[in-house]
Amino acid sequence: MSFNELIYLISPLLFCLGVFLVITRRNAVMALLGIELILNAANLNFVIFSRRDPDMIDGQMAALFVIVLAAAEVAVALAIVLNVYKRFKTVNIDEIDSLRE
Amino acid sequence: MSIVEIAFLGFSAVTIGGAAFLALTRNIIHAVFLLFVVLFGVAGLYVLFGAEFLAVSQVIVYVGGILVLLIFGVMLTHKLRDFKPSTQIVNKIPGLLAAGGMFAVFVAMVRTIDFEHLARPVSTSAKAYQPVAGIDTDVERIGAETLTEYLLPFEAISVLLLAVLIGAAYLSRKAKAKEARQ
Repeated sequence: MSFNELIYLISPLLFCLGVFLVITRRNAVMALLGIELILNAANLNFVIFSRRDPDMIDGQMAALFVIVLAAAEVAVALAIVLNVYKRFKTVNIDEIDSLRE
Repeated sequence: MSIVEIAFLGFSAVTIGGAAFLALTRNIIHAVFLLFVVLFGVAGLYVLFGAEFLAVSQVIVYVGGILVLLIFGVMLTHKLRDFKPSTQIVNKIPGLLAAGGMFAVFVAMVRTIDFEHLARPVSTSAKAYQPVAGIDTDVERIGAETLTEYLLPFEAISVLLLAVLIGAAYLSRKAKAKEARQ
């Protein structure tokens, strides 16, 4: 495996670890951590491929917007998680299966 | 092996190692602080790949903002009396199958990349940014592009941020009002 291939395998590895985290956890906050990993993997991929064209910084701009979206997503998701915890007294994703009490 | 390659291997080892521990740890506090390690590793990789501005934004927004929010989330969603900050790992087999299968597909994809062809930079001289007074930093380019080429997404994301601000405040306030009534 060449060094070039190694560069392109970092972000898929990060992505797959994030997917594993989302699937295997019941805790809502842990699932959020997995989503953060997935978003970071996408950003890293944008930046790595953006390096191939020195004239353009499209990849960096896309990654910048993804960072802003991630911040927005975490703020709303945590507000929802806190509300769910207040109402159901748990953040176990498997136990929260109704829209009302 | 050049210094860049050594630095790349170091940063990617930090990133992937942190992410692997994160995927396997049962302690949620450890998990949040391992995310810290991963985010710093990714910021280092950004610098290596020539995206300094992005690396700084990563540290400020993620480490300064998102991580603190997540720690708040952990602290507020666990009872302090019987504080068991651990979480079970469930669905091990489906998780391994999904993640491993996806990774196999990605590896197969990367192996098909034609690196000889990819290594040649694509010339887009018509849209190339001309540096002012000979200064050519990404920060300056990003500033210029944000207010020209990317003005519409920039405005759209500012509206989105406003909506999120109001939405998050509303979600938290409503819960408090309900509690007061009860």
